[in-house]
This record gives sequence, structure tokens and C-alpha cells, in this order.
Amino acid sequence: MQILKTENKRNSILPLFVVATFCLNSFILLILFFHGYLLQKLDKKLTPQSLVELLDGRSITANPQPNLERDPETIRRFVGEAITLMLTWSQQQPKADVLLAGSQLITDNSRQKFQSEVDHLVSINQLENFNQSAENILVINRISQPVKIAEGKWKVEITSNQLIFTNYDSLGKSSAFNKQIVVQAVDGQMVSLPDTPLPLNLAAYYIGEARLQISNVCKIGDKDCT
Amino acid sequence: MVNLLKNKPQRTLSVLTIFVFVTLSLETLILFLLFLQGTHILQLSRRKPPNFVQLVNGKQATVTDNLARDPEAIRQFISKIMLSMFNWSGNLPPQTIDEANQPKPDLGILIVTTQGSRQRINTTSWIAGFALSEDFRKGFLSQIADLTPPEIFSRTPSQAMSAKLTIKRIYQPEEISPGQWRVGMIADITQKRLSDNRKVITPFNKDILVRAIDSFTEPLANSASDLQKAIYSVRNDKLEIYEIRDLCLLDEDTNLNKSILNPCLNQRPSGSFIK
Repeated sequence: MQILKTENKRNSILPLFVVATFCLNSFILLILFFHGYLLQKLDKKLTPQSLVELLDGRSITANPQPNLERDPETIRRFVGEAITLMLTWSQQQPKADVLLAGSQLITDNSRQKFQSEVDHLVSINQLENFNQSAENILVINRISQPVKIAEGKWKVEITSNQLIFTNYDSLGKSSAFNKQIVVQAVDGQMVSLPDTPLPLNLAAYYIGEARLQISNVCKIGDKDCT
Repeated sequence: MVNLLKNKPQRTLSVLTIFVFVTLSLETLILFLLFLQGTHILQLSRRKPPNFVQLVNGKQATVTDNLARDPEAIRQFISKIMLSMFNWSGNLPPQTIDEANQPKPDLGILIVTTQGSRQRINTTSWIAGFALSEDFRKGFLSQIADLTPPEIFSRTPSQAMSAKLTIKRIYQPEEISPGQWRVGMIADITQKRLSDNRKVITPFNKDILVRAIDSFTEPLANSASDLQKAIYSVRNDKLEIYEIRDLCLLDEDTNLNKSILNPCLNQRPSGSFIK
């Protein structure tokens, strides 16, 4: 009995430690639970239904969606406007300038391919002796509903005509521009504005605000167009 | 003594060891939770900013049918295009109030006719032509060029003529297939010689086939040429005419004077806009 008591006295600091550690741990666990709850709240807060105020004083509510999602209508409009911008040439909008301004709407890899499609379109009409007074206007007939081919990547089919008017020909020649166009979502605005932006640069900038880029152009019916 | 020695280590084991083990498991739980929260925080920090989609009435707007058009819009479109196609006044449509009082003369647009010669047509007809499908437009405008009398552009009052389309009725559009409609139109073309007010009235009853097209706002609206503006303003209605046929009226009242009025039986030159 005597021995037990002395032993207990000697060890009395150890149980105290153990109990204290236990209490501390339980407290830490409580704090962690609280942090978990805070994180969950933050998670919801980062994707709120937001108020968007428009320039004309109206306000709308906007719903968040994942970064790589795009509405079909956004994709169709992007393709329509980007192609219209790049394939409409006149004296005020020379072909070279338009293609340069619009080149940022196309990914680096497919710029060459798009340029060759444009060259092909020009060669059909034998416009090597490119008439200064000629005016080329792209007229869209239809843009199909986008088909999702990968995360953040869609394919649309465009049927359109490029009409070429000269001073002598008011009826206009037409050459079809029917293609499959692949677009991909990008993280940010890819079109950068120069210090003194021309209307052309601004137009490309507005189109690029959809944060999409043309990543491929192929013939209609091409199965491995990605 | 033996008993005590036996009991002592057991007792310390039972109290202290349990505590220590519980603390250890708590510790592992905490470590696990910390790891979980760490990954959660990492995910949050790596998350790309969301896009925002406009809500309509508190709900995300569903994809609207791109091929649907309001019947009234189709009728309006037909009446607008047909009137600007066949109203040949010899003047340009007024752009300002001053021009409404003193209209500018229309110089016409030279078009190659079906015979290969070059004839002038009204500027408004030419612009309205962009509402026709591309394979149909050129042939149709050539026929219009054949039909347009050169006197329309004449500045001498004794020769000047004008023509006017009077639409009596446009039927309700009948859907042929999604995005395609057939619309009947009953109208007269009145050609008037300005010197003696003599009128020639030709019935112009047509079945017009219309289809839905896509049109987007022009990216370069501010620096667009007149031609671009003209084309895009016409295409903006998101409809195009792809065929115009003769409308065969089988009503009794038209049968009474079929030889004069019914173009199905009495093919007049102006009644032959068959693709």
C-alpha cells in the first residue's frame, strides 16, 4: 500500500498531461469542425446569384456556371460575328487589316489553316487582280446548334455566302463558305487592344469578350475535325 | 503484496492507456480533417472564376427554338419585301423630312437581264433582293430587270411612269416543315403613266415560300459601307424568300373572270416568276 501511494504521487503529473492533451485535442477538433463549416459557406459564397447592373439603368440577376461552359447562343453568335468580321472586305476594311485584327480570335495553331481557307476562297473568284472597288460581304444563312465534342470545345456548321460586288457587277458573284468550325473556351480575353484602337480592333475585342477562340476550320462532313 | 503488484500495472493501464489511445485516435482524426480541409482550400484557390448567365424570371432561360417565327412577323416581312420590290416610283425612299417633300431621283442599278442586256432596276428592288435566297436572287432580279420599264427612270414628264404594288391580302403562313412556311399573297401591280394617268392593272397573286435564317448584329456597325448596311438591315429580319410561285385561286368569284384575272390560266409576262 505504501509503495502504491508513492508510485502514484510520482506519476501524478502524467495522467494530468494525458487529460490535458485529450481536452486540447477535443477543442481542436471542435475548431476544425467550425472551419469546415466556414469553408462550406465560402464555397457557396463564391458562386452567388449576382446582381448585374446594365448601362441603361436596368439590372438583371446572373447565375454562375462553370468557367468552361458556354451557352449555345453565345457560341453561335461568336462564330457568326467572328466569321462575318473576317470575311467582309471593302475599301474601308481592307482584307489584310481585317484578318490581322481578327487573328487573335483564332488559336495560334489554326491561324495558318484559316489563312489557307481564306486564300482558297479568294482563288475561287479569281481575284488575284484584286479590284480596289470590289466589296466582299459575308452573308450568313445558317449556323447549326453547337455540338459538344470535349470539355469546353464545340463544333458548329456554318452555311454562308460571300458576295462580291464590283462597280460593273451589282448583281454580285457569290461563293459558298460552308464549313465546320470548332471553338474552344479560353480563360480570359484573348484580344488585346492597341493604345489607339481602330474600330476594327474594337469590333474584334467585343467579339472576343465571349472568351472563345476558333480552334479549327474544316470541310463539312469531315469526320475527324476536332 | 503479490496481489498489489499484480493490480497496480493493470490499473494504470486501464485508465491512462485508454486516455492515451483515445487521444491518439482523436489526433489521427484531426490530421485527417486537416488534410481534407487542406485539399478543399486548395480547390477553392485553384477554382477559375465562374461565368454568369442572365436569368429570366429567376430561371435560366431555356434554349429558344431558333427556327420559330411569329406568323405576324412573317406576314410583315413579306409585305415589306414585296412592296419595296415592286413599288417603282423612280425616286429614292426619303431619308429626311426634306427629302419627303422633294424626293431624290433614283438613278437605278444596272442589272444583266435574262437576255444578256443591261437594264436598270430600282434601288429599293435591288436592296429588297437581298431578302431572297442566294440561288434565287440573281435570276429573280434579272427578271425584274426585264420587267422594269425604262420609263420609270425617265425625267421627262410626258414619258415618266410609275408602278405600285397594292397588297389586298396576305394569308396566314402555313408551315411546310420546321422553319419553312408558305404564304399566299393577293395583290395588284398598277402601272400608271404620269402624263395622262392611264392605269394598267395586273393581278399579282403569288405563293411565297419563306424560311428562317440566322442573322447576327454586324460587328463593324459604325464603319460599315452603305452596301453592308443595306444587306444586313434586310437580313436582320431573320427570314428569306426562297421561292415564289403563282398562286392558283380556285374561289368561285375569281373563276367568273378567269381569263382576265387568274394568272394560273392566263400566263402574262408579269405572272411568270417561277423559279
